[in-house]
Amino acid sequence: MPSLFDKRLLIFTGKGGVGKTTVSAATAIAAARRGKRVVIVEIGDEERVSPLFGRPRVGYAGAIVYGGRDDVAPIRAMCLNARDALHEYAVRSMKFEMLYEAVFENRVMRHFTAAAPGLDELTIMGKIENLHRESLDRSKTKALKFDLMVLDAPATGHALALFKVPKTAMSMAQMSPLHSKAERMWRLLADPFVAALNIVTLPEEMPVNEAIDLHAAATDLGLPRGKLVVNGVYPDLFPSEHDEVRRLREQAPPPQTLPARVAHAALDRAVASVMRRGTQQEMIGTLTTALPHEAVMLPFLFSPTIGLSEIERLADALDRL
Amino acid sequence: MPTLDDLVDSRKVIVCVGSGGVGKTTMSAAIALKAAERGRSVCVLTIDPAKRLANALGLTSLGNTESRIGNDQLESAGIRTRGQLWAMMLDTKRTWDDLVLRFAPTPAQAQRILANHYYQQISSALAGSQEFMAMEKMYELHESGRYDLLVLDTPPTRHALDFLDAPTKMMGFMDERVLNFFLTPTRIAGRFGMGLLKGSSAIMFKVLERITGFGVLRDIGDFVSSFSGMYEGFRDRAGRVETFLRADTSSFVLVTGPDPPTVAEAQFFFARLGDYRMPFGGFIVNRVHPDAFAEPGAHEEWRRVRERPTRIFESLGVAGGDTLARLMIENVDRFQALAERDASGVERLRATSAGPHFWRIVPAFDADVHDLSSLAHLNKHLFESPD
Repeated sequence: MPSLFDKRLLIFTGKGGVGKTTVSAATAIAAARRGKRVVIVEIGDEERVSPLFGRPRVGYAGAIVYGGRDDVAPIRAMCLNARDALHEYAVRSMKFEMLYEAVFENRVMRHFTAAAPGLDELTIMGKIENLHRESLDRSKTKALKFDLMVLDAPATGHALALFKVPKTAMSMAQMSPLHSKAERMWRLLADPFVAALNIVTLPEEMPVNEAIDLHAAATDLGLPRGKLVVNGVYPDLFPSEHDEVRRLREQAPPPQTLPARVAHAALDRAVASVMRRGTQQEMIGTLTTALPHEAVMLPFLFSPTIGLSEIERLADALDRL
Repeated sequence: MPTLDDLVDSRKVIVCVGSGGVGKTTMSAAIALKAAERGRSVCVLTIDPAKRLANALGLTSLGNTESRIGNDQLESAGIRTRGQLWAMMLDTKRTWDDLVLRFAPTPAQAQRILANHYYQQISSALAGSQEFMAMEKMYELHESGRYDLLVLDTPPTRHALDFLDAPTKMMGFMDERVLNFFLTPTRIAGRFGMGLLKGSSAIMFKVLERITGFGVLRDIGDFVSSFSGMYEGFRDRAGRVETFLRADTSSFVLVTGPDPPTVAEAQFFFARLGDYRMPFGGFIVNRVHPDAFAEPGAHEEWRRVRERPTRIFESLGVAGGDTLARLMIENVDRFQALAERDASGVERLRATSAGPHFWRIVPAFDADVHDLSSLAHLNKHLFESPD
């Protein structure tokens, strides 16, 4: 399988709380280490990417958050929101800021654009396609160039809504400028040489089920398959001692003294590790049976916080993505 | 300060909120089980339960209707009660359709809406829709009068409390002014062409038309106008849902994890709930790794173990080798790092979210909670009252 780093758009989605942002950031670092100029894009009002890199807010315009010297290419982070994207798009297509204000700052229109179903998704997809196109455009300045966009997409349901919107717009708006724009968005998403939809999950029941459902939905929609990233995999600390740990648990008499209670606490945690590892491996088995993806395992991090050094460790594991 | 026990006994609705993956669905089910155990007739309204939990609750399909968990099933999980436990999985599309059928002035208008292309998109796929319908279904169940208590599991939203905004937002979309904006120009333009449009709405319309094409505007206009006459009914209902949620018969319970990013989100949620003036019940911090050595003197004893690892086996009264002892120590170190992280997360959350509300800490379990007896076990950590 060719390397994912040769594509131009890597999308990461999955259930809420599985670590999509962490995995996106680690992927960006792994790509930057290979000399790829990366833009990492997240969507929403609360920034999660810039704090991971220990940087101040980057906003809609974005800023470099990593690399850019020695042999590590720069990573630029952007935090997109539909309001600014609509503004940018409208101003661009209307040429006049004043006209934008007349139209979009109008009370009724504001009401409407805040609630029009699908409009947010459409403008965000439009912005993503635009970033991609500008990065290929030779006449544009160097600052806009990147080799790879890493999209830290919303959780499954909202991500699917985002990726469905170009097709919906195409079917609704025939013979219009919107139709050709929507078509360009769709071509970007659906091109297996350019884009890949990667599924992030934890080896737990609910995220695994959601990953399997997500794969089915993405296949129906026609999105090109990327990798399966299993995050938070417990290391096997006791590879040859599973039975031994269980035997101790059965043989050890109930604790009567403080030292015995302390030793029991340690034993309980050994049993917990063995059990968690077992449940996780079962879940990984379910996943790899149900999904055709090549799977990448990321270790569970026992560190108190997830910061840049932890992300860099995960990037090591994603080196062969 | 009411405890979770008090809320379960006295409220009409308990809304579980929190970011994705924190265990909202499990907590909702556990709270409902407790209410049933205490003799109430309760229905838990869930969005997307894990399959095994769904099975435990008898939810085998997206029925959009309530199904009862038989008292014989409860008894086999060790719960004897005269209460009733019901569960329902939300079907967003069906709830939308029901709402349209209820509020459309004529059946013909209802059919026109149900057939509209745009309606079909928003009712099934689009963000915000699920949140709106969760509220709607909850209110419908409340109005039915069949339950003493409803427990609502909310959809995971990155934008914290989207589901509270959803009714207002949807109302905005169906506002009469928006309606007129689309209605008038589409009629004129449809009949006579764009040239005859006048006024500021005409400018807007022309600009939008240039971007989207006339077909889209006509579809949207069609959609909005098909809701004509229903707006009052919708708005009225959205208003009543909001009043119901704000009343002191409701309570919001914030479910969170103890890790730093989740705590940050919980702090944000808490502030937002305050902004909305929603009645706040308290925090459930889920999956907290406990300190292995909380007992006085335990840390000193553990230091002695570290100096001579095989002391573990001597203390346990069993035989074991040095390698295993060292692995066990390394393993404990990892768990203790998590325990430390979790303790500081809980502390930070408590410090920034003070108020007259309850706090429940639920330890990290080694296995999934997926049946009635494991829910009952979980309840030992959620409630103070004896079983």
